Amino acid sequence: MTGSVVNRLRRGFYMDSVALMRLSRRIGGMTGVENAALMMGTPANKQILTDAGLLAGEGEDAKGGDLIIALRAADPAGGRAALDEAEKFLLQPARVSGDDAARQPRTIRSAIRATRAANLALISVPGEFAAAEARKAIRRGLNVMLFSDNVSVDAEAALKREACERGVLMMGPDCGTAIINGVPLAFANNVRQGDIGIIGASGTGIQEVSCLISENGGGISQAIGVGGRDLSATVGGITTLMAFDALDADPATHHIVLISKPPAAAVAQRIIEHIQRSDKACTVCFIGAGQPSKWENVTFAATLKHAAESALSATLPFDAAGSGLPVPAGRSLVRGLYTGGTLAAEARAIFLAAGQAVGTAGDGDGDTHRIIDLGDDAYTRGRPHPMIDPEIRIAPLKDALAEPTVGVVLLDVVLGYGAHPDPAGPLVAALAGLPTGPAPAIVASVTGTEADPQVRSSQVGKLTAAGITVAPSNADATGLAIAAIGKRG
Amino acid sequence: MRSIGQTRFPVSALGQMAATVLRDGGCGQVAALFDRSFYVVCNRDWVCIGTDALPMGPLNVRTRAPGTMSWPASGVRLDDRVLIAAGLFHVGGRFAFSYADAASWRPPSVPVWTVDTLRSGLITCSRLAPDVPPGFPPGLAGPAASRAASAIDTLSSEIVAEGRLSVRAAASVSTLLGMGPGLTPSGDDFLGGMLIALHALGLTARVAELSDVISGCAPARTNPISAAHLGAAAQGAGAEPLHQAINHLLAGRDRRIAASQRQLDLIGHTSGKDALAGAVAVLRSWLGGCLDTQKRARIAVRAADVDRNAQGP
Repeated sequence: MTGSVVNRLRRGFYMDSVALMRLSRRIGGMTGVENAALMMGTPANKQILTDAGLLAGEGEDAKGGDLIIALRAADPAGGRAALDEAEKFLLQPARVSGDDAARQPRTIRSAIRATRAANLALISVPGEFAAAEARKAIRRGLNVMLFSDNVSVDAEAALKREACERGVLMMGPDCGTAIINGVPLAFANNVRQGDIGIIGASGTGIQEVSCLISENGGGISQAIGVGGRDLSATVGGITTLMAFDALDADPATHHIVLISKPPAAAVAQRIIEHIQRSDKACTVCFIGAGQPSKWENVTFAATLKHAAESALSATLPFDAAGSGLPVPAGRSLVRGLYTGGTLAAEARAIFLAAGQAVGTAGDGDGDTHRIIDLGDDAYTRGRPHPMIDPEIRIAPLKDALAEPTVGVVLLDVVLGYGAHPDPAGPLVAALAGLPTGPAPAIVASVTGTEADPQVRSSQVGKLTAAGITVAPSNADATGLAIAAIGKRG
Repeated sequence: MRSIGQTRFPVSALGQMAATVLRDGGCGQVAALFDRSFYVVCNRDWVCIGTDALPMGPLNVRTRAPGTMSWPASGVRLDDRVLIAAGLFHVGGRFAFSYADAASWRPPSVPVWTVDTLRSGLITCSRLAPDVPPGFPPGLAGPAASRAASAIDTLSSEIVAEGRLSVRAAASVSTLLGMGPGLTPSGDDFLGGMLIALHALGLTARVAELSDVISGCAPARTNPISAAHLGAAAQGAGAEPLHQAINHLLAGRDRRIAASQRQLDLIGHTSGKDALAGAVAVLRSWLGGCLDTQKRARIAVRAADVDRNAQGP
């Protein structure tokens, strides 16, 4: 065995296994590191490290409650450097003391003092404290992007009314995506700048539309998240209307796209009447809602893809019927395993529009199509969102592939800032380990751009090489799945 | 320096071991700190503090702190002093938790079940549950893999057999203890699952024998937190989703088995599934032995019939 083996010990240092596995992979991927493992120093684990040729030096003295960082690197200096880096990763979660803490403002007020030109606060704190922090920011004249959830709808409405009175935008709560003046905030993609403004009550909805626009020759002026309940009867679309007015007045914006799940009827009426007063072209995508016909000056899009096409004034052709998914005989069901909630909602809406019954995780008795949002609270309690940790999807994927009635597995892969650095990687690795034999076809869409950190074409290439059919959009992937099942049926 | 006020949250539920630690009171310290929970050691006993998102278990203390709370980001530090007295426990001067009105949690009782319901449950489970703890390191290969497989085979074959555990079985326990990454190594989770399934089957003598072996080896073979969980398992108490999964298996509630396995997925990286693998190993062995006994009994009845027929009226 070549290379230099180095160990470092952290006495009485406990990490949960999720963090340990993630850190092992991260350190193993560092330049010059050939193999790495982080394990508690029990005798059994020391034997495993010995078998792997990774135990040396101080690692041999470890006790059961000690953490061993063990790695093999190309040379001793590289090994020590990698250990130093590994220790930095270890300390990251607790790095809130020392010089860094001294420089980090601890309150909204001190943040404003430190950055007097700031006009936007991105707030991410436990929901119980979120409304109070947002109110402080609004009262100091800041626009607010409130990433936190668990804020009551009454508190949301009150915050938005106050923000409206003070002339600032209150984006959220539970606002995960925005692109303001070309700067992606939270989960957003590196899209081209252009003349299309987006207002979205959903994160992955904004991501899908902005990426389709950007990858097909258009660009985004602003993408403003409003939070999933803004168009409810209680909130009344306060931020949506303000965002619309802002984009209407923005000379850089020529087309405005509004994305939301179906709003309250009275709110929808108010929003559409408001939009009709604008001279700018507008596209409205209320995912899963029927298509109103009486509003002649507004284009209604049934899917996120149609919304992008409308904004681009172009069609994005895709032949779902001609793609010939290899569905094994006797398998007629689709399992959608989604990381993006809006993408899952879009897929469900497309199934229903095609006359196909579709359920969610616990619905039905196993003989219906199912579209599951793995980002739902039921799956993410106490663990990262699947857009951050794609491993969460592996077990349900294996279950779906083993179901004898499933013919197509439908996936989304969401790229961009905040998302996993290689979401296709764990999917491909999981498929490589499966037994051969008849298996469902897998079809995916990749929401992202070439300029994203993960590089869209690279992710598409990995998926395609693993036998996954990649469609240009989630709507296309869903259409492909329905066509394949329909053909079999 | 300006002092920071103490934030107080009520405790909503207490596991049975945690309740004993708090009732006894005393001083301790924060000994392990994670984003969503932290462990306190007090007089060598361990309790785990979290929010209502924490699955219930014997060592766990659920508080009404916000579900999205990050404890390190909220000011809890390793080695923070913990004072437990008069219905309150104080953590590092930053938090206080009142537990006088907290509900007490105990594992759910075992449902009515039969050999047929267990057989049905295990058939359903065989499609979903792993045979070996999935948490063993992905790179586990060669000698380590064969040691683990051999230990699991030995234990599975002896765990419900008549007579005392063999020396080989005791060595297998020692092999598995502390094996695998993470706070509770996969080998420990597997053994914990075995203990809880043995309890559910009412095989208390075998529980005592296995837990004696475990408690003899654990101080040298695994970490103290995992040893504390194994100590609770020896008394028949584990994470609530594991009890639910075992109960659904016993009662043959086929449609609930998959749902309970999803709940197990929420425990650690693979801890829930590792423990289920141990429980299933016990239940399969028990069912196999039971079916063998039934088969032998049927053969004996048939042999008696043949004898009677041969002897004539």
